[in-house]
Amino acid sequence: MQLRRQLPLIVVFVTAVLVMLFKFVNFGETGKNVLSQMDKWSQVTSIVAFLLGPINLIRLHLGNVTKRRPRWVHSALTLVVTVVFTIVFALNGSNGEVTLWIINNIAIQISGAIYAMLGFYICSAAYRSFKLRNLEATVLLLSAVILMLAQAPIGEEIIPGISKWGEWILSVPNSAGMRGIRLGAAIGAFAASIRVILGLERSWVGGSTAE
Amino acid sequence: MDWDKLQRIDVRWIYALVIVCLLVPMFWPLGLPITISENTRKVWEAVDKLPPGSVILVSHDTGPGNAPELNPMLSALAKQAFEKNCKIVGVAFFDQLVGPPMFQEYVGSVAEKMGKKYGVDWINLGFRLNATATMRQMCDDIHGAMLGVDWENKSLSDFPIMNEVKSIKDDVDLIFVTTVGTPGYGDWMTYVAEPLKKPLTGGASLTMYSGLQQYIRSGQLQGFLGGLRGAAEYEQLVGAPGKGCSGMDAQSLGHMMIIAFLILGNIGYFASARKKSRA
Repeated sequence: MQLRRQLPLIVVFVTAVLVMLFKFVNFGETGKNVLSQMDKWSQVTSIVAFLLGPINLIRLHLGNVTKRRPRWVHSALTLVVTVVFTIVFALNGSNGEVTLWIINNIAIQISGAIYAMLGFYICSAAYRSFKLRNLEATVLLLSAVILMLAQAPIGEEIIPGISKWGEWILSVPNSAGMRGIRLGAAIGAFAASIRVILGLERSWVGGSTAE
Repeated sequence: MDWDKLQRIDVRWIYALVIVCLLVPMFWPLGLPITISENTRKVWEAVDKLPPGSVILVSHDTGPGNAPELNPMLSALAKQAFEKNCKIVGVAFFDQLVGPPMFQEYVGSVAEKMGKKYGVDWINLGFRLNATATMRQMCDDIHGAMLGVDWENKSLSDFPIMNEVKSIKDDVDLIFVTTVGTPGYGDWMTYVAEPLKKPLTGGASLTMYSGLQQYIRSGQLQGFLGGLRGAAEYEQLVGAPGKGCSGMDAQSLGHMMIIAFLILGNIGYFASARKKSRA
């Protein structure tokens, strides 16, 4: 049981040290070959890990159906679609005529429709929440209106030159804010990675954080 | 009049008006002129300055939801690239069901019209899992990274274009990425464009626009096509108005409607605040 938690930590530590060693120290062709080989392993591991998704999906929904949990019919439908599509994929290939027909006429249309619904929600949410309550809200509202006008041809017809204002908002104040956010996030990600490599962060192997 | 009622318009009216705004331009196009932004012009220039015969690596990393925004960019790129006799090599890392078939459809239809042959002037390498590992491997060995086959599982060595294009490092002249998030420009910059000093350009959904400006300002990203508007501008630049341009009228009316509701909501808000202060 102890090894079950320690082994992943050891694998992560050794792999990370090896990658850093070969990345930052020049070992010539040998170093390049080792890194290339590791990338290949990484690709293969991803493919195997990708299998876990459908396996977990089937386990979860099969449980919902057999135990008649609330909305089990949805789970049954998910299972049927998964099985049917897997069979079609296996028989027809990932770019066969039937597979592409299903992708183009069902999968893309459904996903596109769901995504398009965002337009309705954004419109209703903007109407309800964008109010000139204080200075910050006013700045936000004005920026939003300028950008909306800048992104549509009609904006230029109403206020000539507004697309330049929109570009300025995006490239000056927006860039400044985004750089700050990204730098902060990168430093945070770096710190988190160091904790994982050193085994201080163990929640991902089911353990508690050490420090 | 009870102005504060404007704050409480039934949401169903809003939804109905959104539908009307999207439908009207389908039957009565407004045909408003589209001004070309600096970012779009930079994308066009990045392709335009390539010498004939150059190779453009296209990564079409889109899902179904964003495909209508990003697909027109592919058609326009294909037209500009093929006119310059450039070659296109396509990959996809985001969605196996969408990226490769859409690339095939959009680049393929332009190629057919312009008499360009699959495997000679362009190729679709399909989808691969683990984008960053594949990208790193493609820098030195595209054949190995794509497991030696195109999206139809045909051997890459059977295609003349792939006998010329062995690695990004030596054989690719421009990287054009259409993305909806991850993998995105950050990955391409970190693992490919910056280490190999290759120019990187492309487009993304409009929601990503604000997060990418700093890369454009730093020069790491050579221009950028922002959503459907960017696609429409690019279509105009290459002289092939298509789905991007036709979607602009709907976007115009949709944005105007949101602004109209913002104004109404704020009138209602101030009327309500005034009423409360009097009471």
